[in-house]
Amino acid sequence: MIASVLVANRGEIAARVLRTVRRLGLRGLLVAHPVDGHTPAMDLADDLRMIEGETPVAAFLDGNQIIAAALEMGAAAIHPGYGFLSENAGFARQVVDAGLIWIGPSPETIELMGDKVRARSFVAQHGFPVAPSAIEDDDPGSFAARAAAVGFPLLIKPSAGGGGKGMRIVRDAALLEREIATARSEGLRYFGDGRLFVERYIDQPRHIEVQILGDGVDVIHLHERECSLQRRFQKVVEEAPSVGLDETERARICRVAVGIASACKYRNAGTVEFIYGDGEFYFLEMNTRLQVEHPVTEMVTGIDLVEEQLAIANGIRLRVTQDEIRCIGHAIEARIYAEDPSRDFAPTTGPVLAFSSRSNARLDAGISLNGRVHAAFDPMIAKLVVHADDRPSALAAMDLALAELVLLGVQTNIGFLRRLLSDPDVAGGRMHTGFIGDAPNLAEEPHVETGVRDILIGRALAVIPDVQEARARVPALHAAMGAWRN
Amino acid sequence: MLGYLTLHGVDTLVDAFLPVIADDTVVARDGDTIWVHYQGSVYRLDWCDAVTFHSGPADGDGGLVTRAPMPGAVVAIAVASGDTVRIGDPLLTIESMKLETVLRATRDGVVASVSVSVGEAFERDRILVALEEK
Repeated sequence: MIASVLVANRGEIAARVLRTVRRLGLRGLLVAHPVDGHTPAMDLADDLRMIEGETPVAAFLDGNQIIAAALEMGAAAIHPGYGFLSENAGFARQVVDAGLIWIGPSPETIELMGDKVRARSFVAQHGFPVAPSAIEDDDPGSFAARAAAVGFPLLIKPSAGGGGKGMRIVRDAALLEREIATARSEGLRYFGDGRLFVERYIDQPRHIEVQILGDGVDVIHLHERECSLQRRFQKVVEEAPSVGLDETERARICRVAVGIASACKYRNAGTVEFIYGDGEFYFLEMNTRLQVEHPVTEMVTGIDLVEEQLAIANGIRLRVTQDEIRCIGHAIEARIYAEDPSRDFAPTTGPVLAFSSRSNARLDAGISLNGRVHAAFDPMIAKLVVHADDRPSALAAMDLALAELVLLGVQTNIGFLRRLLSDPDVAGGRMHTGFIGDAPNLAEEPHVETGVRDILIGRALAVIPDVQEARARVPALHAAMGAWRN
Repeated sequence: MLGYLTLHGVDTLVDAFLPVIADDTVVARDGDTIWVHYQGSVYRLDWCDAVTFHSGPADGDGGLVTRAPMPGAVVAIAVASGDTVRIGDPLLTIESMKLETVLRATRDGVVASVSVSVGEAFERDRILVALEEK
């Protein structure tokens, strides 16, 4: 049995994994980079090694250094968290070769799901839904005809592409040939590669994903999450269950996710992501690790996903059956980003001058009071998670939790999150992945009423040294003027 | 007259001595920046004493001061103190969010100071290059 766990990560997820490790009575070990200063995870670790790299990010991608630290501290297992080395098959192999337990799926599964084209054809081969598509390389001569057969609207993507560059939406069959030519020249210009593929395009889709647990033999699902509120292709708010599915669709999408995970004999916690729209859903990708938004699933099912990951890594068969999994109430997670929504969500930095949460919401934080938010890592600094009987109550609880989260010294998206979640369409569940981009007014700083401005100025004056000095001089001045008055 | 507090781009002349204290506020100061949490919202106010406010160069400097538009690091510096620059001339190249950006002079002038060096990291609003009138 695993007696000690090294967390090869930082920020809120390092603290979150260590909380479970400690609760289970195991030794929690950590690697950290000096640029982070003192972090919440450090308070939870029994032992710690500092790691270095050409950049702070490079330190967390240096598998050799992390494994050396793990061996030095006597770790039995490595938990990768998310990001960094969590989906690196080579690292998973290195961990095992070093005689440590890798808390994750087999390297082969990581490789399969990490290659988006291979993963897609694996899923299609097993009879599960992927967006209808045509790949030019399969037979370049018939590409245009096969593309038209995919149906409209469709999306042309460069095979070598990424980041949205060179993608073109075609709604009219008559424009297809011309758009293929344009996309090809853009692909050549951006990537030096003009090969293309097309995929059916879904207007205003929802992002729905299913949490699964597998022990290498059996797979169960822990229901779905909806993560349609995104900015720059990054999730901002996630909830469970999805407000966009009826019971039949919910059962179907969860069944498909279990089928996909079973087909690759999945062993770990994992997430199967889907694009959903027009009553249909398509496989997007599978993430072979714990996800940022896993707490909403923990809230509605009452299951600690890190604890289950550890049990599976210990070789124990799944400890719960599908019938025992219940989805109770509604949970919402809001990601707190250090960013300026009114400047196109550009990252911000600064000292943490005040940091306290006055509500009883779950706060998974990667920053501490008197610490500093810097530009070396991802701008997500904390997550706030609430659970209530139903969605309206959960939205109300989240608004209160956001209002009572005091974080001063660095600009964040907290005000934006409150405006977003009180938008009538979001409250009504009418969301899609382009929602935030389509509502730039929500990102703008709201007008400050004169009465509020007066209060803010009055309060600010009390802490300005120049003002304090001037005030200190006033009584003396008045005293000196006394004889002259009246 | 003491100075100005800027909130959301609006400058308020401050000469009142009596603060209005609301009980449910949390206030913190970082140099000339004051953060206030009031009724569930966070506000940032920037203090500038009256003498500095009216003498510049601050934000209302007519383009003499080039500030960092976002946190990043200096990749290259194209000018040195004493150089004459024309509007549109490159001043320095910065890297932020994995993108390189060239910051250019927004007016003619003479470089008064370059306050960063190549490789140096900076935060948003840091003064990078200051010009003076010819």
